[in-house]
Amino acid sequence: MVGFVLKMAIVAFVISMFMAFVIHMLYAIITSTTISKYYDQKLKDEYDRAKRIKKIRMQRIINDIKAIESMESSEIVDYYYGKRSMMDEGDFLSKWKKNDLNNK
Amino acid sequence: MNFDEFLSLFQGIATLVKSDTTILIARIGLMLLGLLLIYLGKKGILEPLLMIPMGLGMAAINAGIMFMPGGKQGNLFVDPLVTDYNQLIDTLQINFLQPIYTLTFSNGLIACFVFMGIGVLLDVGYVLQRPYMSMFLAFCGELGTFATIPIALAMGLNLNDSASIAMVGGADGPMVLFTSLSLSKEIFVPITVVAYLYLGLTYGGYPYLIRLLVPKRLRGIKMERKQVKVKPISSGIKLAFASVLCTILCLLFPVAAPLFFSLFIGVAIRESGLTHIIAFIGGPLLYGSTFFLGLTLGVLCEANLILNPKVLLLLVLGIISLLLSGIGGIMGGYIMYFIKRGNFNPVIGIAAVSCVPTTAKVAQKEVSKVNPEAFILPEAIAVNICGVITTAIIAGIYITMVPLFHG
Repeated sequence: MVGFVLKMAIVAFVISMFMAFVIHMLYAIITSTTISKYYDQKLKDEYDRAKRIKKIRMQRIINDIKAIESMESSEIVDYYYGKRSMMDEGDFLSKWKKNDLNNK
Repeated sequence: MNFDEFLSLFQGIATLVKSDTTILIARIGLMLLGLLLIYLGKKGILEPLLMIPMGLGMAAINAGIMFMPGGKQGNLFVDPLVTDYNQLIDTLQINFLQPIYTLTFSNGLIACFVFMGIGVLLDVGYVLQRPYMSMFLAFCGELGTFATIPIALAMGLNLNDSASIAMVGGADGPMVLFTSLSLSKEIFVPITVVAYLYLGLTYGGYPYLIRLLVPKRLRGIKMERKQVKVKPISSGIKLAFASVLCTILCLLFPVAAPLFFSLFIGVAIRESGLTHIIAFIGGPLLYGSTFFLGLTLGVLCEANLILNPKVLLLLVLGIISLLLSGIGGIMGGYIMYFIKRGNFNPVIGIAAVSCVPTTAKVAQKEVSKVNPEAFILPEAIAVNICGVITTAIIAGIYITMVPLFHG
């Protein structure tokens, strides 16, 4: 009787693992369809775009550092304010700059 | 007016007085047990959705016994043992819960409704990502389903009854109902009642088993997940997966086809985005079916019916089966812990006992208590879903192979 139960357990284990294999294969087959490829491509495009943006930002920072390194301290202040106002960061910086000038 | 005539005004008490001592004690005991179940459900120790209607049904059926025409004792709730066609038609017109029992419970329809509701709540995406691990753990969580058969045989049950009661270890009410209907029709009521009673207990009992078997430092393991490129699994992929898998499973196990179909139709509806149907199946149908399931189970706990000599044995075997399955699941969790060199929380193993989604919730709750940053629910849900598939596979094997052994 124990042998019969073991036999059933082995059958169940084999079928369970077979079902895992079926699930794995189903997933592999379904994800190799055009729809999935489309999603993969979309994801790749997003990734490339993010990488490009990151690269451009990094380059800007490097340029800034290089520029600042070659300046005198007073030039750095001018460069900083000029850069900020060029970037149009909003009211706060312009007001701050105005107050700063008034104080002078 | 003598005492007997006075008592006949209150037939519930009269039948109690006229009963054998055993029945008298059993009826009072079951009434009290019913009230206890309501209390435990309200306290949240047992599943309230199932336990409150079941407890009240149990108390009411054992209180509301009366003298029927012909002097026999009976009730106006349900008669599960009626088999004669003409008698059944009469009973359907008299007992108010008989239509629910005959037309939805005894043919497994109500279980299929519950499965549809579970299907709507399931996300098969988790299974798609980890099929081998989930299936392996789910198989480990079936230890009780196999190991209880020799124990039951040693205790004097026949193979059919042993296989039916062992299915309690799978912790899937509908599967137990289905297997016992196929293999042990004469005791399927007590088996199903025992099964659902214990399924309610998983909520309250398994946390203690986890604490006993898994030390605190292992319970709090936060699993490092590989930083792989996230691949979105679209609803189309999930729908295609559910449809193909359902067809394959039905092809392999026609005996469990209604249950597979019910589970995967739920998944298909979820993934097809039919919002109104999702709301209906995941809400009124699931909760309504669970409510009536609890109610029907409660009224089936009538003392005369439940006092089958096999019931005590079934109660012992049911708890053994569920306990062994829990141990098996955690053992599977330890095996995965060693295979993954410590990067696996063994508590996930308890979710292999496929009481969807209770055991997965219990696992997460226990882990969160030790380490609030550890998040194991995705793995636990995947194992939980595979547990349903494994239990259905085993139900199919039992229904197919056990009659062959006699034959």
